Amino acid sequence: LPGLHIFAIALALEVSVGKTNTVTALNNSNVLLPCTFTTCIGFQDLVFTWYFNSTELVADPAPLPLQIYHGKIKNKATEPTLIWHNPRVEFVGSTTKKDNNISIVLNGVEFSDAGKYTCHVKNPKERNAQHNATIFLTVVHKMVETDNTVTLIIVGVVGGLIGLLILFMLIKRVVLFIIKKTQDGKKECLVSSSGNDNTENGLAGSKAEQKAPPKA
Amino acid sequence: MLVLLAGIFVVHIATVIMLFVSTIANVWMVGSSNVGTISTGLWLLCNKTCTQLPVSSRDEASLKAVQAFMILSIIFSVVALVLFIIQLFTLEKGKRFYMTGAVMLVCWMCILIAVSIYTARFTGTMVYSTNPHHGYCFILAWICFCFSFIIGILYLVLRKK
Repeated sequence: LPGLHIFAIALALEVSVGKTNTVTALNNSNVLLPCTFTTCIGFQDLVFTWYFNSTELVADPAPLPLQIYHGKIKNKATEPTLIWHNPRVEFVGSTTKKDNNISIVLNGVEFSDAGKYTCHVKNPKERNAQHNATIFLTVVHKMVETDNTVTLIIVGVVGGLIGLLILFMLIKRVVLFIIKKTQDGKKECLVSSSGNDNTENGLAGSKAEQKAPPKA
Repeated sequence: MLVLLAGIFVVHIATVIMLFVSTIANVWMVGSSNVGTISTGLWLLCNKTCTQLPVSSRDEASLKAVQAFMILSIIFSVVALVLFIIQLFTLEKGKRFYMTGAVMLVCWMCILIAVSIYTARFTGTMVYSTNPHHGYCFILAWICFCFSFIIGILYLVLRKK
């Protein structure tokens, strides 16, 4: 029935692997593969499986995904029960707390473990609704720290220039203030001197001289 | 006078655009190899697809310096443009565009440092290719160097009418 099918999608179960779906791990370490699921109407006898699809091995036809963990959860009040697991995989999730966490830890990571890990969940209570999410694991020899030399240089130069500008303005203000203070003393003398300016008389005189020759 | 001002403004905008293009496009050095033409820039090495630029450990610091100073030159040229427009409306008659000129000259210094380091360190051999020659981004950067100097000096000399 198409109507009920759409209804099922609207109420669907959702699986999430967190904000980013890539995980980088150091060779020979233990890596956490996070996975949580949310249901709208609760769950009963929920079955979850972790699959591994290798990106290292290239074969034709492509290899089927490998099951690495298979568990079952009766209801919200109980922890998951193990059905089968790969010996290197350890369950570290908990479904009795607020969020349904079904994360696993892969011990002793090797380069051949790089690939796609799928967390698959099936909820019989929601008409066998299924959902999955994938994480991509990369295994590296050495963890590279992000380099921010460029940012440091830019921030350093811009900050330094702004600082120099502020310093320059301050010094200019201070110097002008000092000059004004020292000149205040001298201004008294200028005010008390005679009112007429020599320059004005000079100009007037020159004007009179210029007017004379055309008349003649 | 207005014509001169308009001309300087147009050259300034052209400088900003050229700086953006020069920094972002990855065509500073171009060479040919058995797979076609390869171009390298400040950030990536491009053939048909682009990958991370391979840089030897002794050149790493120089490349970071070039990247940083090209970005700084873009920042300062844009700041000078905005300052010019602000000063156009707020400066009193007869005064000079000191702030704009000063910022433009700082931008000139940044371009000078960036292209000098690049010319000294990265010209010559280029990985994976033979016959390397300079690409258009390198030429644009040197053109911006000249333009920014001229514009900076002009701003310091120009008086507001």
